Amino acid sequence: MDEKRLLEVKDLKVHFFTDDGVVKAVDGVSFHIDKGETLAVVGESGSGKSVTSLAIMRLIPNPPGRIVGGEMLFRGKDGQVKDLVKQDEASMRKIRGNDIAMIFQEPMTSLNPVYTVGDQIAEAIMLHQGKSRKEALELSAEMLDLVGIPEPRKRLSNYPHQMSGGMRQRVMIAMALSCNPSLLIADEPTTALDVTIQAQILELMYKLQEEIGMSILFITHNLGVVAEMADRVVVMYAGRAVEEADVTATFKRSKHPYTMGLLNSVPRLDLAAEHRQRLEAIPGNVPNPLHLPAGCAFHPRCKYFQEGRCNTDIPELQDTGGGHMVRCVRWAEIQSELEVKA
Amino acid sequence: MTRKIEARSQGALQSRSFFQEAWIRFRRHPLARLGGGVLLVLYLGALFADFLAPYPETKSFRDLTFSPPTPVHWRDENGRLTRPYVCAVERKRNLETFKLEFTQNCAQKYTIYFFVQGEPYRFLGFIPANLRLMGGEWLQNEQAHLFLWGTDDFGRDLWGRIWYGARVSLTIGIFATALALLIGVFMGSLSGFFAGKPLTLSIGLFNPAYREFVSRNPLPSLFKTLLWLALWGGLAWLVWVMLSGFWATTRGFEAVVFGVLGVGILLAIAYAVLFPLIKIDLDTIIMRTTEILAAIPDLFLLITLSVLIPQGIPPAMRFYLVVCILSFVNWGGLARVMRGQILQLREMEYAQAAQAMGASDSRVITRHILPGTFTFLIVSVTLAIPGFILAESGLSFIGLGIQEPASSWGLLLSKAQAQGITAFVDRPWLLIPGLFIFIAILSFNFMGDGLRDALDPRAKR
Ligand SMILES: Nc1ncnc2c1ncn2[C@@H]1O[C@H](COP(=O)(O)OP(=O)(O)OP(=O)(O)O)[C@@H](O)[C@H]1O
Ligand SMILES: [Mg+2]
Repeated sequence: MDEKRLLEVKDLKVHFFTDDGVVKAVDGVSFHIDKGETLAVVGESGSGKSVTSLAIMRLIPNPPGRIVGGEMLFRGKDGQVKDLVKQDEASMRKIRGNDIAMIFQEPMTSLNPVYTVGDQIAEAIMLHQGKSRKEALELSAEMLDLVGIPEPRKRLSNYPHQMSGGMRQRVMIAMALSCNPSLLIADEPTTALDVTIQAQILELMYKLQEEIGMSILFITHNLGVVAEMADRVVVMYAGRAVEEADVTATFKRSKHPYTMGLLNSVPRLDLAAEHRQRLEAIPGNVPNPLHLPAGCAFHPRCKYFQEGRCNTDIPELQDTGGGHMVRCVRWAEIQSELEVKA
Repeated sequence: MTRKIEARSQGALQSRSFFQEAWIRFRRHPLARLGGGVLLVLYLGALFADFLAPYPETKSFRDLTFSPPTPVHWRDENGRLTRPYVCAVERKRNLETFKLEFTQNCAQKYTIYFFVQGEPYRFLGFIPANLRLMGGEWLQNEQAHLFLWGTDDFGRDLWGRIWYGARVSLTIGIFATALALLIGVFMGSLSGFFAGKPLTLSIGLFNPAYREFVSRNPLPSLFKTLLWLALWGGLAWLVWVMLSGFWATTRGFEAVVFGVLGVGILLAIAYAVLFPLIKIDLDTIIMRTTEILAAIPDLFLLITLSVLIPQGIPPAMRFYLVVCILSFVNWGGLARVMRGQILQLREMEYAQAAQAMGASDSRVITRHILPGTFTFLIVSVTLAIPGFILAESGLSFIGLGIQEPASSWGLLLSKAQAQGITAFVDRPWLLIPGLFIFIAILSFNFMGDGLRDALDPRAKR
């Protein structure tokens, strides 16, 4: 694996074997994250973003779920490359929290109401670094200070219910960063917060990343956040990556009709004033994961749909140059069509 | 990442634990404090029943049945305060009304002494002692009697028997709750943890799933296979033994019926060994069992089971059997709620977050899931105890629980009932045990309320 790579996911497949049938929540997703980089994963609800992140942590609930194929090569802190799919539970536990940490969407419920904030941060530190409770609490106070909580020592003895949502999310970040992970997975970390707090948390994550130099896998619905935070973007649809490119290319030169649709459905202040441009929602709904359409799963909602090409075979992910990957058989034609229009 | 912060308030590092906080909140709850205080008094009374009671538990005075409370005098004939004393009491039949009347004869005063040597007893069942709260020479010589709250139908001191009975009534709730809790929590946890995860009981050897099962990790799988085979083999052997027994003893049509039935079962077992994938869903089994238990009226179940207790076994034995019956009837409710709690907590994000921090399954369960149920458990225990006390009283009241000569509040109260309406009019002291039941239950409920408020971390402070 390339020296600067931190994580390389190849052809990951996660299936849920339910009573109604097999849900292919993630079906052949590949991407990589470099050291110090932020990769954003976007997509509609149910596209398999959370399942992908849980698969990296090997926390897919089993039953009904199982990783049925693929590789996830990860470079640990010690420099060794391991395939996360093949690790046993014990070595996974050493990786979780220590090499890869995760913050969740709901700050209200991701802290245990029965323990103090200090206890919960200290738990993680004691677990991985073999420190005494006292040292761990000391370090916890430092972490709280780092994430910008005033009077960190006093806050250690607070219970979660004594804190606001924004503060709890800061505590979650402090907890996640307490063992110096090289990869932080953030699954919609700001969705539950109001806009100003959201901006503060994003700012904080950005600053901490600069300071610590970790990589972030950022999962979100919010394209505004993506533009602000990400270096590269993976767009997912119905369990597959449909486009992967760096952030400017995604926003300026997106090549997959789904990505274009997503971008058009975001309100934009700069355009709205001049062109009085209407929002264009993508027609139709996300397909039922039990009965995905044949061929490209997006074809029933695609305005560039062509009978016989789009609905026969699942398109390959093609490199269109410069690491810009697209999963669409007609991307080149669409591209020239758009150029003619413009 | 190693910024130093001024280590000014070192003391702030000592965070108060959750239970310390809860204790503070509990103490601020006035009714809970009252309930707790009353219960403390009652339990101490039960513990020191021998000390409080002037007479041993079963001491009876046949000629003084239903005697009213002995008047305790504080003043002498001249109206001056003296040490408290009692007079001798005689029972006579009034020849005009034909009622039994108790008349005092104050020719001699019998002074009540405190902390005296009395009838010897064993404190806690093994420490020999004879210290009693009240008494005197006259009490042991039976010149006069001290019945603070009167006597029952055998002429036994009710005051003493209430404290002796408190031992049964107050502890039966705790024992029964503990046992019900043990069963309920165990079953409920099993149910909650295995909800949606059926356990594989056995896989038929020719089932396609079997090959996959063995190839995944061969050694444990083969071991498990041997276990299943032993299980099925044992079952088949049992059927065979029974079958041959039937064949040896029956003739004609019956033999044929048993033969066909037995061979059918054996074939079914052979089929089970070879083909199907058999899964059991512990959750379903346990929950359906609790539903069946819940569908039978409690009182009916209690009575049915109590009838099974053999007559004439020692009172202690009977006590434990009653405990078992009570908890057997009541574990279902606890199990159901426990299951709900675990299902809910299992999906909480902090359980997942802990896992994502590298905590093991057992750590997540013991540190993050079970403690979440503690507060609920403590509260439901305090609220369940009065139910058990009432159930015991009910059982003893209808004569199926604790039996004479042992004592319990329900049993004592049944004395009042046996006397019909006269209890209210002529012998109201027989109702005192009912008052104790009432107070104890009210206190438990107050305390349960207080605990619930105290243990809820979201409570207002
Ligand atoms: N435990 C499970 N059992 C069955 N199916 C599941 C389970 N977990 C997830 N899935 C399925 O996997 C698919 C992807 O779910 P996932 O949670 O990854 O979506 P998502 O992209 O994170 O959506 P959102 O943006 O709403 O969080 C969904 O279709 C869902 O039904
Ligand atoms: Mg999600």
